Amino acid sequence: MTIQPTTHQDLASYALGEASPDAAAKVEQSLTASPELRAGLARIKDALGMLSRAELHEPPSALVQSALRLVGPRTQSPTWLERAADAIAKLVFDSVATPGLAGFRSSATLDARHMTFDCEGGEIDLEILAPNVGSGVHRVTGQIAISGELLPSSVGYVLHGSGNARTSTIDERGRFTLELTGGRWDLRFVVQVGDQERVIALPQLEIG
Amino acid sequence: MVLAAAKGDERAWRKLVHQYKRLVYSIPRSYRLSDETCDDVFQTIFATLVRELPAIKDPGALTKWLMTSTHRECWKAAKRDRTHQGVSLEQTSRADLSAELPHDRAEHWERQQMLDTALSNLGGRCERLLRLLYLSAVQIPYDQIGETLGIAVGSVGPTRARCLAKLAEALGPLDDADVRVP
Repeated sequence: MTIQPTTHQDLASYALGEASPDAAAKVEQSLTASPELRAGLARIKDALGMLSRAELHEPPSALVQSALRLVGPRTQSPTWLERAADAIAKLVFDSVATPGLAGFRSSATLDARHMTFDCEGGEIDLEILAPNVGSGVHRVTGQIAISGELLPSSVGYVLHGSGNARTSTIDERGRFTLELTGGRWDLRFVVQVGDQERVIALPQLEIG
Repeated sequence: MVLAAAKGDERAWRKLVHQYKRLVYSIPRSYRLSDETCDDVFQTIFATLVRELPAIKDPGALTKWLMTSTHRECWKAAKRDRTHQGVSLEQTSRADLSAELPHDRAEHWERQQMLDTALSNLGGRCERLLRLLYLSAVQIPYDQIGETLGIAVGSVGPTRARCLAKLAEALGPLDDADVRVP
């Protein structure tokens, strides 16, 4: 009768305590005669010890998916901040630069600054109020009036270089309100043209 | 893989996330941080890794970078929680959480990562069986394991022995006596 040599699976069964008494006796006999098998059993016991002390938790699938999306093609359209502007509005009036003009736009005082920009066949008006004492925050109200098929939806604004972008909605009459601290601001208007979006940028706005 | 991921290779990044996801998630879990905080730590670490990858010159240093950064993020999160809850860190179950990763914990996590990689390299039925048997949060009965893997209940034991032998081979010899089972 041929005696089968002891395999690593036999050693593993033995280490797990699952070998029959006969199989265990055979393994023990083989171990006495073979340094290689003794090393093999030590490795199996090492592996079993590591498994027994394993402290590995499976993260939720949604969490892994969010990490995977950090590199590779984007599944969502870029935000207003990530897009290049489709058009840049042109400054056509600034009450600070031309304080002597007549009419509503001449009402520039130390408390308010009026600006008008031309864009897409329409215009954007801004009124920048001086901050309340101690607050340092300028209230900016404005209105965007552009051709009928373009529907303004939001205005995004970010303090230049800060990366801390914010968005404000524009109402059905094109009006919006922002609160800006002193500094250089980038403003972009998102307008809907059918199911497409266009981004209109203002020249950088220096406040304060 | 690390160099390719640093260059924006999507496949390399996927591989890297899957290779290290359990390590990054298990460290905050070990400090019993809340589910929400564990999620925050995980997201912060991978978002930081995307930015820092080009600066990690030695791919072999990645495990250490991940362990150290994740531990540090846990410490910061625990400090934030302490501030919010108005209790000291020592009064919480996270009293063992220090600013720096202790040497023995670093060794522990290094071995956990080694085990995780070896299991992943096994793949197939062996990986699934060993993870179900040893890494599940609750003990799963043999009959359920057999059903999940599509094998007879009587085959689970012998399959476990075969897979354990394969894992031992994948791990190779370990020179540190503290992982040996007497």
